[in-house]
Amino acid sequence: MLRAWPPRIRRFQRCGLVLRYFVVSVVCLLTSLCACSAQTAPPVSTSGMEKPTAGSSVIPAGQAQPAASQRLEFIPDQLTLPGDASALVLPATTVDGVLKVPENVQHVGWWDGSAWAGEPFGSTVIAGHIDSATAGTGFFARLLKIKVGDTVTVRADSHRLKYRVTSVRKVAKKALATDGQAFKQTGPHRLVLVTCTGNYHRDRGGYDSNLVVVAKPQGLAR
Amino acid sequence: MTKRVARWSKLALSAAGVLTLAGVSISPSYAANDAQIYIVQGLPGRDLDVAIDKGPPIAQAVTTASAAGPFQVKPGSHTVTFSENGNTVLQNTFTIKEGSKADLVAHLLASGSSDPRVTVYDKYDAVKVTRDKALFVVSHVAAAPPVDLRVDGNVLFPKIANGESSERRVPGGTYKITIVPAGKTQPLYYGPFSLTVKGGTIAHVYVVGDPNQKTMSVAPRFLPAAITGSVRPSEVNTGTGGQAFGPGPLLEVNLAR
Repeated sequence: MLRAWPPRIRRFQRCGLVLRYFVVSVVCLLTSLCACSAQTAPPVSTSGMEKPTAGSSVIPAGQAQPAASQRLEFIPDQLTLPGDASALVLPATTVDGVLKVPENVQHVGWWDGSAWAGEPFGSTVIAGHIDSATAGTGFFARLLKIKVGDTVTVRADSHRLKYRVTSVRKVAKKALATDGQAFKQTGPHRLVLVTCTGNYHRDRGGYDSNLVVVAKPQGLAR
Repeated sequence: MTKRVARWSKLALSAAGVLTLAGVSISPSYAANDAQIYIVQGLPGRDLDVAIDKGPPIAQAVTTASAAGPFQVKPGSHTVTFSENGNTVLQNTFTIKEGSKADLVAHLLASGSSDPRVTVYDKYDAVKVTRDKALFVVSHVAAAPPVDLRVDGNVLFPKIANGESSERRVPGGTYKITIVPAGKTQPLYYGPFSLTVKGGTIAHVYVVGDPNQKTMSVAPRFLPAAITGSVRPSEVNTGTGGQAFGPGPLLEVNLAR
């Protein structure tokens, strides 16, 4: 999930090499055993002792190292709203144009085509239920009370990035797709929280508007 | 007991050698587990021939700031030799994993000393990007102190030192780039130059050369990447009960800006 590079690369390579020789040795040992027991062991060729690589005086190439200044970018798995209210964030996919948020109304969904927290451009989109006919009020009912200036935090493992709310808007459902902030992957990085609001139409089983909360990152992801 | 073990292991080693030789001689065609390498030529003012192990040249007269490839190699340890007019300029060993992709970069060290170096970049294999974004990778392989890479006027890649790489996800598009000493805006080491990156790809820029010799340049590499993530939604339906607003008239949402 994290973009940080594993520092294990050299060790893996060395392990792989050792393992390869070990496996080859074991295979050959078995072959040799069979050959000996049949009293047909061929004379040992000393040329076989040569290493497959060139002279030992050649020094190994360097391995590209991640810069100490490498920025952290991560897929959020937890969201905390004002009042220390936290929810699990699960990946959410678009199916037939509709973002499929988690069924559990206490969880929220990160659109899997949106930015990772800490990317330099584009919105990180997290959507969740305000309510459901079967499960009652959802986690994102809390967005009805969120204000400009509030702090929202996303986390993954030990990493986190804080955002400050800069706008809270009601957008007609049909206008959401073309909204300048909501889903765009260009422009300065931001966190976009989406739920439903407006008039509830019992006959249609849904609201006529979306609530769009935009927040700007405060510092770097850690 | 010790003797027997020693004899067996000697036999095993010998047999391993024989098998290795046999394996090489009977399978000249390339297998699916072969690794793929590109050569990136970061040594200024040279046209280099490149050979792997003791084979014939795989690429000839590779010019400064260009890349050659792909070339298939067996996983394991190899030697890469860069030569010019038959004289060896640079020779290093490298190890490559089964089925992986790597760039072998011939370049100067930060000090600009006469000893060049090969650095292996092999972080491509696990990269996934969305359709909209590219993974923009910058590697510093120039005879220069740490650099900042400024993208459209902003320091998108701060403080990368020789031998180091840094990466960020950026939307597909065309960017104006300058390369300057870390934390400064002058002297301009290289640029401004335009770089166009496509969503769903990796764009890797190698910063090569020596500012003191006025040989700074960039060697770009563009690769396809595995695509992840679903398309942009047009609808988000997250309310099917109406309970959030309770019975009676709707509460006004706080829309203060």
